[in-house]
Amino acid sequence: MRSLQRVMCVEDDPDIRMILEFSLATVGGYDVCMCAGGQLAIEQAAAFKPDLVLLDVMMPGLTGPQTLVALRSQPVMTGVPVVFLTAKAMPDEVEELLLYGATGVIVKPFDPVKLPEDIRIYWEHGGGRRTD
Amino acid sequence: MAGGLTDGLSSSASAQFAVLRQRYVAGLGSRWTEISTAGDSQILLAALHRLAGSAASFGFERLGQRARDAEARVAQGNAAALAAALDELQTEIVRIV
Repeated sequence: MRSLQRVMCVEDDPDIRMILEFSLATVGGYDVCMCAGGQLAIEQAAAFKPDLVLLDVMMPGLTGPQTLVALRSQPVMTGVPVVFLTAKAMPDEVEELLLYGATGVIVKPFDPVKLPEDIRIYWEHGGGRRTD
Repeated sequence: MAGGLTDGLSSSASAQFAVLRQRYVAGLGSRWTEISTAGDSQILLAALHRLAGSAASFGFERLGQRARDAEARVAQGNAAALAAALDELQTEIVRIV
């Protein structure tokens, strides 16, 4: 099984993008593709070939769930786990997000030191099925 | 300094995190302006929600808590309680900046 290497992040808040970059690239050592919105993620997925996608839920333009649906229609996304990032944490809201086909939900504010390990666990459980 | 958040990081990663914290603090003034001049409750909620969702990731746990408290007050629609929560939020921002 290959290791988790390429992580695509979709997040509209510049401060969160800043701390995600630090967390995943500097602390986690992953290759990170940072997208400020869902449309950019949809356009860049085929070229970046993410191993995992971290997707904000509430964004202007395409929402997280809308972005997830569009990403799922791309062959490059086959077997790639998508983890939602949300500041809402009510259990029924988490359930609803998982119904969209996400592998998991990470609640904001996240711990930037622990996040790399948290997404690696999601990747092992929900993904890692890619053989290419 | 960051509530133990970065314990165990390399010194270069810790230094980088300190720079990010400074940048976050530098943006707090405009975030407060956005909150204090919000024209309607949707704009106010969105601004508080973003603050609540990011502050603790930069090591500002109490700031995040104050933003969450104010967010809850907006939903309750109690103007006096909201004003008090925003006062506490402003006090915390002033303390940090």
